[in-house]
Amino acid sequence: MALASRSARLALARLGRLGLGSCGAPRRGAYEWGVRSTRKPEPPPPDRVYEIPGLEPITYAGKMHFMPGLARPVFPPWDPDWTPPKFRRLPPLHEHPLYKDQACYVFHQRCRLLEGVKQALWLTKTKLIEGLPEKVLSLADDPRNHIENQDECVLNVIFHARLWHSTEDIPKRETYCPVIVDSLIQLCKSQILKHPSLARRICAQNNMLSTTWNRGFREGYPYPYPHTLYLLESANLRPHRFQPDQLRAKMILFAFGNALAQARLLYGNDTKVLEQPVVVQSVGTDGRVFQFLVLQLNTTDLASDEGVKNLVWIDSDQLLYEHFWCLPVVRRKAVVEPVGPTGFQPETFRKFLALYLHGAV
Amino acid sequence: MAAARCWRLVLRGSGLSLHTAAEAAVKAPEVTGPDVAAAPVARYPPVVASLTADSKAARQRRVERWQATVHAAKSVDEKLRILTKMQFMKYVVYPQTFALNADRWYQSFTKTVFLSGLPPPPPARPDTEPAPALDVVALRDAACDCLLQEHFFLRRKKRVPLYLEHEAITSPFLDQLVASLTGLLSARNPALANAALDCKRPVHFYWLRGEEIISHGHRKGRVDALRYQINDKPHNQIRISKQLPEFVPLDYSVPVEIPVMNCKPDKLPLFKRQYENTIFIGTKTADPHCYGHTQFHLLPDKLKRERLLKQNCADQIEVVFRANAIASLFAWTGAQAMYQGFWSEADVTRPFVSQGVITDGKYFSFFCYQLNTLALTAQADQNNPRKNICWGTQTTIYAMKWMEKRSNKNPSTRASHCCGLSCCGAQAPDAQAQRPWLTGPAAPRHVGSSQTGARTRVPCIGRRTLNHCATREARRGKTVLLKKIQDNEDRIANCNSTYKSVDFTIRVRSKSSENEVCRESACVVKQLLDPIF
Repeated sequence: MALASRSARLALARLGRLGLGSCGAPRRGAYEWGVRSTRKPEPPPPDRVYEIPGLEPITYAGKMHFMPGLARPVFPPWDPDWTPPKFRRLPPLHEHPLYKDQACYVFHQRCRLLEGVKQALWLTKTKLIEGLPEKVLSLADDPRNHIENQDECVLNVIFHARLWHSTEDIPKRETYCPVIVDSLIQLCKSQILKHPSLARRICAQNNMLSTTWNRGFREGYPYPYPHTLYLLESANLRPHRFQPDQLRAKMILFAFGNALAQARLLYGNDTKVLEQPVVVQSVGTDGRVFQFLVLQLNTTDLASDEGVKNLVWIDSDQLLYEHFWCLPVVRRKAVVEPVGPTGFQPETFRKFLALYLHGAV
Repeated sequence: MAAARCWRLVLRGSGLSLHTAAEAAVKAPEVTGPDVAAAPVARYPPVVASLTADSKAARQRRVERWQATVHAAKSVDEKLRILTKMQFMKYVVYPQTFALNADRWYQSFTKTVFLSGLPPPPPARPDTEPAPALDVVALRDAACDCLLQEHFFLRRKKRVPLYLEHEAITSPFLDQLVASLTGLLSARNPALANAALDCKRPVHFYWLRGEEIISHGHRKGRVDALRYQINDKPHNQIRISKQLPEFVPLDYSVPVEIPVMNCKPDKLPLFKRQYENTIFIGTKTADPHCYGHTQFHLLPDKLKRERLLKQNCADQIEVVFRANAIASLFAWTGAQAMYQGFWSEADVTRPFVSQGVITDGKYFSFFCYQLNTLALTAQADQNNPRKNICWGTQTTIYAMKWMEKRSNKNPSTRASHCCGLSCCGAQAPDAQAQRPWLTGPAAPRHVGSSQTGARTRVPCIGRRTLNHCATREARRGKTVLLKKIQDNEDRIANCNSTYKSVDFTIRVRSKSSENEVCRESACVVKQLLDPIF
């Protein structure tokens, strides 16, 4: 029975007798006779359980149904052993089985560090060095490493990402940011002919979800060493994107996380200074401005402030191009700005290529 | 003005071929007066039909005027704009469709002949040096790595539920596979090194084919062209800057007939809509990489094998792959041809060639398409002997089998069926019918429940089986992957030096220390090794 209590059932029957439906409103197409009164119906008599001290009440509990003349039984409160997930209450935090006294702070992809790079450096016991290391810069400047028609290819990539890849007139950042990074990586991969060891790399796209950073992949993974992290800021609206400083902080922390996981894998969980430092690179971009980062993990002993520090080289705010005109700017019937990028800087792609080739050349 | 009115591409029984009509409209006519052999200047204005009259000749003249504007367009963008700017109701063709026998319908819409098997290899040129040997081991390893990374190694935040497995696992696997194979094979094919790789970029094509009599409306009884639009989104595509060489000559006559459907396309079912007519290969006309190489398509969950088998449509499995290939590749090659300035009245002068790989994550089919003609409208198709050709293979079966190892602790009966789960004593009663490709050692065996010792056969739902066996086995780290192919035997028999049979064995070392089975079976895999790939 849907309505278990007797009073509700009586009320419903009364409404039905009056010609009204379940909600008290008249049934569809029903005409009520009688004077409409605004007096509320009297409340139903409460079901009372009478306790007479000294007397044992004889109830109809055993009979399993109501019996007039017998007392109303009092049942113990029912304790359901299962609650539907909708109504479950969580236990208080300190009673949770996994509760620890020391708080653990979780860093994920949407965390914006307020102090930016300074906070990230303190958290990871790292020293900052401006500019990329000489080894990478030498790779960038070495003309043997350049692709033929490099500038032309990069310009084509910019055109493709900013204008050509979709049927709209002005593609949005959410589409062009991953397209430009993918195309630049594809362009770098064309160097595979010269450096066959580049083929021993694989790309894992974790960008959608934040994976568990203490152990990124299972054992036996044939590509266990993280090489470069590519972080994209591709939200359309500027407030949703990270500021360059916050992006650099995020890059430091994620590179540090990867390096730490790698160090734990290689050297175990105890904190010590590593004989063989672990190097992880990172590139962060919003489709136009690039931040390059190389992090070298020298020690996992992060509790103390003294001792060997980790190093990070940062090259920040490298513009690939100043602006891209998707439609030509026409003033007084003369084309002032043609379609295409303005302020193109080929140096940025050289650094990108150098970071990609680092380790394989 | 007549130019603003709706034009029609149909020439109704005029009897004149287009060429002379166009010449008549544009150039000076034959002089009817006294013969003037060498004097091209006409002394009287040309005698042509009216432009605004309500007559067939006037309509024809308006159509020809419109076609002349298309011919005279200076750039390809302008040409495409003129061809697509007028919107009318058109059939929307979906390459990935559940419609029955859709491949025959699509063949008739696109004037395509389907030939099973792959196209003949090009003749080996004596002047070029032989290509370096293919490093099959490296390719195999790369493919295994991609597969294992997505299915096993990559730790995700939450376990992916079955209904999301397709987009969360299979889709990145295909991305990785394409990227890694392109990288590895670029040594043999320099065009691949400079190719552009697109991920999920749209491909659109709009064309006209055939005619119908309008059944109701203010234009009832009049003849109208049938318009079609394909809006496709291939999972990956490779575009190159140099066109692929043709498989067969442009005017190659195929003895196979194109299926002719005797009813309206609505019966397929196909529905009409009016919206923007777009022609797009994945990038705009200014891109130098305007020729297509290969497309990769991932079939959705809705069209997967198990579902079709449950619906008693086992013969439609191949149809799904073929229909997807014909529609997608026709749209892509047609759009490439239109980007070069060809259209139905200016037919292609060289064939446009592209390839396609259609998969649903486990089963792969390979297709090649050659576009020989774009002239599919009723007027242009009157004397057009050319046909488009599509070659395609059967689906390559890729069986994943999870093998349960016999535990040393409990040597008595353990359930060793395809599920791999020790406590699942279930066995599909008609497993052989449901999964006919599991033969020999791969066939599911009778099981007994280890707990009760019963030998009952309880239906085991294959889908759930694979799900729980995937996670269990993955956690234990024991997976053995087998690749088995069901192929055209005559193709193997006729294969010449460019096609090679390859031993394909994938094996993963078991990480678990308990017991060691690792039974591996080497199977033969046919691989496409055309020089153009």
